[in-house]
Amino acid sequence: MKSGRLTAIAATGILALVAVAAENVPFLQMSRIVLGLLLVFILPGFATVCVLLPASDISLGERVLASVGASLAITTCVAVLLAAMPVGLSRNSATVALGLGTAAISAWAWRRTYYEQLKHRDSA
Amino acid sequence: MRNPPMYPPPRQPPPRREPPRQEPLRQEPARQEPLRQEPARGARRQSHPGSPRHQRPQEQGDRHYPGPARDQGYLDPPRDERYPVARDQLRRGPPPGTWQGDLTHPRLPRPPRDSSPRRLSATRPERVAPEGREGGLHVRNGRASHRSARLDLRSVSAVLLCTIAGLALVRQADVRAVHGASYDTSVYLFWAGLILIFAPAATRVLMRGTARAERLTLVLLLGVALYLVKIQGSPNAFTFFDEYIHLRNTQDILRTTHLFQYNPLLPTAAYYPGLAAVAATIVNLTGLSTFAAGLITIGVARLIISACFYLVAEGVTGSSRGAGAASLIYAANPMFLFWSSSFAYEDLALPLAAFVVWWISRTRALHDRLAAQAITVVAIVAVTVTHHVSAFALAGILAVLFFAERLLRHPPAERRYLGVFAAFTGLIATFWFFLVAKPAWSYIYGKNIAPVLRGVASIISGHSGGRTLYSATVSPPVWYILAGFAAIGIIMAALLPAVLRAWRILRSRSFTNTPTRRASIAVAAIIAASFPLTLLPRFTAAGGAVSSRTSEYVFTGMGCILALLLQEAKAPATGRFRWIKRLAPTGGRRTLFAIFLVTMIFIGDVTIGSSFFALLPTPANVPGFPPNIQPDMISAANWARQHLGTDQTFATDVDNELSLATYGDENTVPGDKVYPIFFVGNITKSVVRLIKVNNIHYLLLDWRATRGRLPQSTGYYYSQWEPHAGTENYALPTSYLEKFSIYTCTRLVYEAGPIQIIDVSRIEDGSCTPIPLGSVPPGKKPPSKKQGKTTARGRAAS
Repeated sequence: MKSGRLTAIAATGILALVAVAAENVPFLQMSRIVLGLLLVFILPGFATVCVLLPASDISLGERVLASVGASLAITTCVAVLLAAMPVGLSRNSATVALGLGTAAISAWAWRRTYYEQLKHRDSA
Repeated sequence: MRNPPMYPPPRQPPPRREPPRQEPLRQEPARQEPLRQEPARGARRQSHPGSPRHQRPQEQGDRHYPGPARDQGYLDPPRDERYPVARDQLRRGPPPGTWQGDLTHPRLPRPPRDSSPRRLSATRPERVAPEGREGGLHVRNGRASHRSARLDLRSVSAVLLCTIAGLALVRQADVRAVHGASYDTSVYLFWAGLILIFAPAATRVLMRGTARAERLTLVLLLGVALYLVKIQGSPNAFTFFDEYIHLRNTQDILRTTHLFQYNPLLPTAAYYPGLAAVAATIVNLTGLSTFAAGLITIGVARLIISACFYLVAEGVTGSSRGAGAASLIYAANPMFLFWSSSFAYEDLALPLAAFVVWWISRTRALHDRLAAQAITVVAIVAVTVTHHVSAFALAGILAVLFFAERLLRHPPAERRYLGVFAAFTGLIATFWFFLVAKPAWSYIYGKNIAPVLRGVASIISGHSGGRTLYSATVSPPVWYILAGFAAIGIIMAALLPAVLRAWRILRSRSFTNTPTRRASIAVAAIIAASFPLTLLPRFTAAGGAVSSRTSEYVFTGMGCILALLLQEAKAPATGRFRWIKRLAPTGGRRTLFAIFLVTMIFIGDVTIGSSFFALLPTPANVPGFPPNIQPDMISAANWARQHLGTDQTFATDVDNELSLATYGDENTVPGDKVYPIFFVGNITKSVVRLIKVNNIHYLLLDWRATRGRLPQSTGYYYSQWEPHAGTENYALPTSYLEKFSIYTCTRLVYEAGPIQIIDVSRIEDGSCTPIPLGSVPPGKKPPSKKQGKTTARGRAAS
């Protein structure tokens, strides 16, 4: 379970980076749609939930629901914040803010989950 | 400072181990109640309390095995349930609780493995368990427990097929309506499809043996299916008035990349940009259209509110069946089918608020609860910047919950924790409302609350009569009205018993009624009890919309409270009204009765929330004025954006106002301010003054208004205050629109079919005084009637 979650967190970070990289690369439209929707509705929330709750305190279904809800909340706040700043809410700013932010949080989540796993292994 | 000893101290004998504690973990007196209320499957029935065996005192020597008493000290609740039943079947042998002991009674099934975390906390017993367990302990027999772990794919598939068939019927009805088939025939297809979507899902959700996962799946399926009903009605573009408001917001953000641009359709909406910002982000990231981005956003929000409400209701009702019933009743609220599916800011804010409530209730007992609340803060901020009423409603619910838990003596640490979020939500919602979204006060109070309060006061004091319900330009059929009254009657009839049942649960000290659950029930009862009050504005002229919109909030509590009635009353029918209680159906009949009532509420509330003639899309070529935006209106708006530029000030009718504001990015003046311009036969001084005061540069005339038949969706052409508003066959006299062609100072710049755009900027800036063309002073060349005319085909520079 834990290793599966580590894989999922790593995939989250990689997908976020791919979404950022695909911004300036000619990409298939369908891939852009999929990556964009993941970056808005799933990835930021999943990474954040894994950072905040590295242990298995909530079930998988609850984690998925929390990921979607948190992603929507995070996207709302980030978009409003970007649009209120001088940089504005453009394609570049949204991709960089959400993508790099998600990648950074994923790295943090991977680290926390990994050490949580080590701690449990030691205590067991 | 003492030096450490140079030698280790002599080894002390190990301390003698204390015997295991014999008292139960929980200290509440209710914990001493017998855990089993029904015997396990395949086991002998327990002795009756009056039997001699029951009266025999339980002593240490009576047990057939060594060790502590079975009912005391075991942490795992299923063992508590299983071993006393197995006691009579066991022979002397290894003690239960060991693997050797388990082998001695193979007839007893092992408790099913539950993937969800199962912890019996001594300090936080408020975790609500799925079906079959209450308060973390099994109170039903083992059969129910086995059912709860199983997802019946055949049943889900059957309901899914019914849903698909229902959606196909609805689609067929929509297509027939668009192609001009008889509305009466098409609408019955629509209703058949709607019932086919709702009733099978309701039946399976309310059945006793349905698994928890299946109930949750069906609730999500129902939410998505009802959302698809709305999409099928307008699969190509937004069609609701509020959708155009937020479409304009989204386009402004995409165009300018910044917030708070002027929104002519609703200035307040520009200051709550959460939904528009999310949609703009999706458009930026994916390249999808604004329409597709809006549909996806609201669809995801629909999934969130369906799941979160189910999980919150599970905590309130204490069972998945109750949660399913609550979700069905919430899905039956008048706004759920169409209004809550539209691209409007509260349809994103309300799911986020539901998510906040669920997330707080779910994580407040966790070990990392403080860290988890970072998400709560972000979600509260998201709600605040998305919708005003939802933010205040969230603050109110959290505050009432906090005070309820305080009265019910919830642990102070967690109570404060809830109170902090209530205060935080209230503070930032107030800050945003008064300091950022400054037009919001005049909109909320001046245009919504104050007229409703004045109307209600007028009705109560007898100064005016109430509004006639179901009074539209075209009267709906009688059954449509009766269904609405029946739904209200059912709810009102069930409300009092439901509140009384909630009161009994509140007074109960059973261990299943933890302080958190009791506080939740108290909050839900308060919300539900406000339902009759929310009906009062319906009798006022301006309160119908306010009353309808409150149902989205009131039905959250209503669903939870009415769902309590579904649960079997364990006490026998006693008391003053026991003969009434004996009339109440039980078992399967109660389930059937509940399915019937919930379906009736759903049908009736749909009739309340939607006009009879707004259920289906209208054909493109309707006689008279079209009820919604037509392609020629969009063409005119696009032409205006390309040739006149954006942000030009227009005055026009209600349909073209939406088209110009969204497709044209123009600024339209509200019809309430400028409708007198279109209701006189000459360009009088008052017309000139209105043009100057409102800085109107262009007039868009739609000559279909002269053909009669008001749009059924609104009942007026320009404003609800215009003469003859609500009169079905009223047509504008042609002279009211012709005057702009027979006066000077005006210029026709666009003409395509029935639509004309007139340039009146010379009147607006005062450089020209309009006079009739026939009264031009001698010696001056009269301006041509066709001067500056530009048709859609030959677009001269304006």
